[in-house]
Amino acid sequence: MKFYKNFIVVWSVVYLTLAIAGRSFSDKNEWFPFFRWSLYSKSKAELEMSFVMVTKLGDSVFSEPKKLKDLKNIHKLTEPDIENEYVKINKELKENKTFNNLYFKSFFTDGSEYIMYKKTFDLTKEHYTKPTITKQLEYKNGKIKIYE
Amino acid sequence: MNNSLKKHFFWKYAFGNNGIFSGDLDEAYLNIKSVLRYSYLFFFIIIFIELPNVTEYQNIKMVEPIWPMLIFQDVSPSILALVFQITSLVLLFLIFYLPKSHVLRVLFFVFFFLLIGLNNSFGKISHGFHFSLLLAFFLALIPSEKVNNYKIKSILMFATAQFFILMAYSLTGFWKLFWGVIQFFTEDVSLFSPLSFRNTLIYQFEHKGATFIGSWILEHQTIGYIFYLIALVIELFAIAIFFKANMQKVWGVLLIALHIGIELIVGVSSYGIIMTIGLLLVFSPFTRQTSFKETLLSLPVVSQIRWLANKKTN
Repeated sequence: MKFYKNFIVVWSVVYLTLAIAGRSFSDKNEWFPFFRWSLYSKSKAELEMSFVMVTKLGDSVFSEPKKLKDLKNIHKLTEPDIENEYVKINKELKENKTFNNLYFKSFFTDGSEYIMYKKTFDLTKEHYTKPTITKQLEYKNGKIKIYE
Repeated sequence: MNNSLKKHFFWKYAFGNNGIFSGDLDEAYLNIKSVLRYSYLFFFIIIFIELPNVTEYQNIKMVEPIWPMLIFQDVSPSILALVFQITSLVLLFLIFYLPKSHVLRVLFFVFFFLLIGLNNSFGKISHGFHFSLLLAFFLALIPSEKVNNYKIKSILMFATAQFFILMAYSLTGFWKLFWGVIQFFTEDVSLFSPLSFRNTLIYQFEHKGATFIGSWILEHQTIGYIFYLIALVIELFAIAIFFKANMQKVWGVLLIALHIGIELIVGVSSYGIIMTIGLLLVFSPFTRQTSFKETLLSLPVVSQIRWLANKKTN
């Protein structure tokens, strides 16, 4: 009976400890299935969004650049997975100036070409203007060129 | 047995006025048994809806698999989905015929856990089925009828499941408030700015596309902000109604309404969460209807003020 009576307290301590520690000590910011439920907890004053426009995929050249997200039938990645990858690329770009890693490896086969852009919104204004778009990196001939 | 619970430092509060344990506990146990059966029907629906994953996963590999999937990372996700889903469905059929079997409930939890684990091993962790998993976990901990004091143990475990669902909502509200205060002093936009909800919508719509009602809310941000603050109050005070039998259904309905709003405005679907709330709170085995006035007086904050006032008078 002691187990059933005290389980709520013991499990609360275990759950909260793992949920909060997972934020700092796990690669994914949480140890499944212990989540701290911090959904939509921070307000955003600025929004930065990366996106990739693909011009060539392997041997196939597109008549006009296509959004990576719109090629779901080929890469089978979900939008959150692609977003996750953008977050990682941006983190690498910030930390490592000699960035030469290639993400989406299984998707961009030899000969592929793409450009990654960043869209920035200033959300501190009541009537926010259109985003500014800047080039982040370009992948061509197997090499990555980084833009400041 | 109730006497020992009445002296317990935590559960003693469940015996107060309109407390969840102040009613007929035998009747509560019978209600739990019926909720238990509906719960497994609910799991059946979830797994049935997830069946197309067997085909979805046929040409993809796991991306950063979560820890329960590490030992399976070289196995095809399609085969894993097939094995986990078929086994879970077979276990559910057995549970329908042998509802008293504790072993089947434990086994079902294990396979359901693996199934949800697999679904979250393709990059981002999604939280849509965390509540369902929590429900399966606590149902697996409800003892069989062969165990001593099985009725009160089942009641305690069911109430514990309710507690964790409510705690999750309160945590969501707490983090919003916590970061809101910090951002108020450090950033241009915080929870206390009407732009906060509008910016959340802009962020969401840039990622997933705008919803019909969400686009309207973007143009009428004050209305959106009022909804946002109401949602915050519902979330933050969820845990405060845990002991109140007359508030559980009310809060269950409010939380479901919250998710309907999230679906329509933000575009985040959560049918697994809605089903769990329905089973645990709307169909709460402890629920009690009181007069409109008494229900209002049981609201969080109002009841705490009344409690403090009574304490002062005594």
